[in-house]
Amino acid sequence: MHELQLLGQGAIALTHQPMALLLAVFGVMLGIIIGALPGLTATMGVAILLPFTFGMDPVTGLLMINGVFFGGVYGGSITAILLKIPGTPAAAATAMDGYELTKKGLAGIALGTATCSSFLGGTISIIVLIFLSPILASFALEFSASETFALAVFGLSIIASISGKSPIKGLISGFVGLLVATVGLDPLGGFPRFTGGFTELYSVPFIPVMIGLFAATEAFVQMEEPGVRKAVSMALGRVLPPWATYKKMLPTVGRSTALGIAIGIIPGAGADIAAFVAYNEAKRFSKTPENYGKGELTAVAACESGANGCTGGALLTMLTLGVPGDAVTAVMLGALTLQGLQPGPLLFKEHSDLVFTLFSGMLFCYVTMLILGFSSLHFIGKVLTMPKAVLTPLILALCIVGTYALNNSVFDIGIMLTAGIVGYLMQKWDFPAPPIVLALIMGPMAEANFRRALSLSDGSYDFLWTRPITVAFLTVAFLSLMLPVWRAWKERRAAA
Amino acid sequence: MTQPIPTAADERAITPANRRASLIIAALVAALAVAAIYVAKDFPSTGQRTDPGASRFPMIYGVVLLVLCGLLVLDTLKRPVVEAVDALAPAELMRRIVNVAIGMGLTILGVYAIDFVGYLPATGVYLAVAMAVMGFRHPLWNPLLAVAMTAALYVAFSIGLAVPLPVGSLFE
Amino acid sequence: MLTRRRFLESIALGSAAAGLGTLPAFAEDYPTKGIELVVSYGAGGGTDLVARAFADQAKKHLPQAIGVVNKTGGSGAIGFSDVMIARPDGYKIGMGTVELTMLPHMGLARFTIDDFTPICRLNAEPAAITVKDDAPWKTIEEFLDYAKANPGKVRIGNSGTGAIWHIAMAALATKLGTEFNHIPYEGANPAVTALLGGHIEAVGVSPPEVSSQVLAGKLRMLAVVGDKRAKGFDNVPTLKEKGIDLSVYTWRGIVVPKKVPQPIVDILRKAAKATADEPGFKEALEKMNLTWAYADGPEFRKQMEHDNAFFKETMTRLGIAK
Repeated sequence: MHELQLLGQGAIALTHQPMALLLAVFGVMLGIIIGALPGLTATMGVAILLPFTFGMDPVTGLLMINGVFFGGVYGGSITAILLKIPGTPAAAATAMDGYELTKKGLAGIALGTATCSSFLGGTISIIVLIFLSPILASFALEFSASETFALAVFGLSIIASISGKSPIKGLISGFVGLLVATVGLDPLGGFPRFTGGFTELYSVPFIPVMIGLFAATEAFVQMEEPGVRKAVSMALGRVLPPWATYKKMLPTVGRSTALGIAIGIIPGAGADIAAFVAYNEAKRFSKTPENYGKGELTAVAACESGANGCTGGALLTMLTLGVPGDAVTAVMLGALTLQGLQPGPLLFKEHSDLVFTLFSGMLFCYVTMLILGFSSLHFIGKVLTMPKAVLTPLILALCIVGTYALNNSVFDIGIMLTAGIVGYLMQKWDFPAPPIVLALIMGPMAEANFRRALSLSDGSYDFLWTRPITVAFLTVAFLSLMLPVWRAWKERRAAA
Repeated sequence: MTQPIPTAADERAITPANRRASLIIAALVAALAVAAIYVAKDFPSTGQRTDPGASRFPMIYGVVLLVLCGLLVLDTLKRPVVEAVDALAPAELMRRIVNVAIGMGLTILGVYAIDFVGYLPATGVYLAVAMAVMGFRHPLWNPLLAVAMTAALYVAFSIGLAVPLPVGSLFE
Repeated sequence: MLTRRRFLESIALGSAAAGLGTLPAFAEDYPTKGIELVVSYGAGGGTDLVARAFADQAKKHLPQAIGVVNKTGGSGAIGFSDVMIARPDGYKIGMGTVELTMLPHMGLARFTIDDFTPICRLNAEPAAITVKDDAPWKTIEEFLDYAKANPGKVRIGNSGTGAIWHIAMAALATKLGTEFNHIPYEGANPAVTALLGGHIEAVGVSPPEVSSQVLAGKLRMLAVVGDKRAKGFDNVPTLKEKGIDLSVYTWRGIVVPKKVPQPIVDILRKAAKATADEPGFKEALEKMNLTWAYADGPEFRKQMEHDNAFFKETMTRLGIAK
């Protein structure tokens, strides 16, 4: 095993660089905070740190940035589970079941499961990155516009499994989301659609809508019954999930991680899609799919291992091909270039020492994340013991500041609040919010790539059935949509 | 205003309030869809021979929404209507609606204030008032906590993460 | 004591400057507080990196620090508008990019280039035509001949409809009297990825955006659409050498609102020149693969005016202009 030897050497080299390790720990810590705060994403965290890496040596600078990346993906789960504030879009998937668990008094176990699953997903993805890069890299290039369109359609079909009680209401939410996703500049022509003349609406204000629908809505629900009493009756309790419980989730974690890696490799698809797809597949394989959405621990494990599995996949594409797998790695590409390292086919040949030192550092970052996570969960969990009358205004203030931080725009805060109020009314009448978030992630991707594919094929629709990956995704999407119908039919037949 | 649970006799049953809400929402969403289609039909072509244009996708979504609204209306009308067994008393329901409305109004005012006088004073006052409205009225702890939380957010965002917070149009 | 007349005058001035008593007191004291540099594109992108490198090096030449603020959205229109409406006291300046001369024609902006005073240009990159390493075209002549013989067949990836590289390639098609199938992507990177995967025939993006792949032998740069050959690619000819008179550049520089008083403009120009000449700044650009292309205000203005006219004409012909 040539790679193993190189990795060992890299690890030894790393032990001689205490500053790099220290800054990696700092990076992970900062990443977790950035991920946990609404509005601040891992992309932004990496961009903020970028100027500071100018003066550092490559390993130190890049490890710190990787730390922020990994920590940022994980950190989103903490506030998502505890307060239903999705710090990152991927955490919106985690919040669906994670917050339900908190309401049941199981916040500790949910956080612990999220931490373990994030660690496993991330670590496995880095190992795959180390050993299978050359084999998997060509997969990324197979993805043209038609494949990405099909992936987006598959992503949209997940609406069926996150619709809650009424599929019709879920679909209405989803299509309203798709319509909202068309607000802004037309992805191909650049024509402003439904903007009412507001320049601020030129790009879909996706994150403000998400924060509003999840966090602000929940805050308004809390305001129904004012009171000083505790927000959640039960304390955090145990955080380390019992082995017997976690063991049962391992197959899901493995499958979700694999999905996460694959989605990470695909250019233009990131942790948010991975988390939702992992959720959907976990539900599909579950023996108790009816528990999903009501506080299912396995769902949390699936989302987190899927989202963190993405990290290694996205890095794989970026490092081996020199093309970014998602928004964060796009910024990291800049970071590498600034260090005089050109990501791409030559990187592994010309700088293999450095690359493998980085790889061992990435594994170190994930171990750090696990340790930091578990040692701080009890402290972070104290937030649940705050009186509701204090916590609820604080959540709203956090939403406001976080939304503003996105684009330094008060307009975005208005969008966030509007989404919060609409979300509150939707919740009152059983219209699920997650389909809107999913539609906002997938809608622009589906439209832009469908139209691009049409241009690529010179106006012919045959890309829909002549390309194997496209056909596979579209078929799975169709089955996903039909699955609930088929289940209902089977139940009815069993009853008769 | 929690969701009234229908009687166990028929899980498909809905309450009159629920039925009314579903029909109103279907009408509103349908109106939104029609408006979207109406606006979208005038979107210009992108000038590319192979491109279906900016209006194609919004139109499709609009039409599907209309169909879904129709389905929702049919589904709602088909369901049996039952009075809720554990519905909240009207007075309690009203109290909750007022509470939420006050909370929402306060938050909107807070955002206006942030835009006008800047983050620091507006957030401090907003937090203090919101906590008081929600029942936390300790004469010492309320203002102290409000200031502390405002400062904590300020430190985290403005200093720690180098995100400038609004200074307010009044002072700009 | 203010006389009534002077009072009215100052109100008139003050309302133009959005605030009485906060007028830039004395330009010779400028700057007395931190300067905000508005970047219209996301943190970590090329424009942002140039801005941050500039702000970093400017410390040595200005008594106050420059802070970078990202105001993204609207293809850059939001940030540019923010600079345009800023109080003209020199404390809010902007990174101006070639989009300043493009967005107004697309009906996406309320500003025109006349709303800004250019301070200096920092960086400029030409367009380039790049194909895959296994493509049948070894030289630009072969490629252009094929394009002329097969109008509409060659799929060229760009960084978005109406974006700079789309216009560059559309202008080339006009010069050749042929047609390309322009495929827009969300930025240059995805277009390069598609080229690597063999989903399109060529990309029309700048040399830095393809350089790592070209050096690795995965892509082949056929020609540069600029006035001179690109640094590091001395064997790649320009279109001008091949008799096609076309050169399209993207550029980045510092601009301020139109009404900023001349003394402040002069202070900024002097500081910007010194900053641009810092070895640290040049080195930062080099690390990012970007080309240092300092030009002082008046020269920068000429380029802005030239490009403004060029894009207006080209975009109108393409039917992109509103």
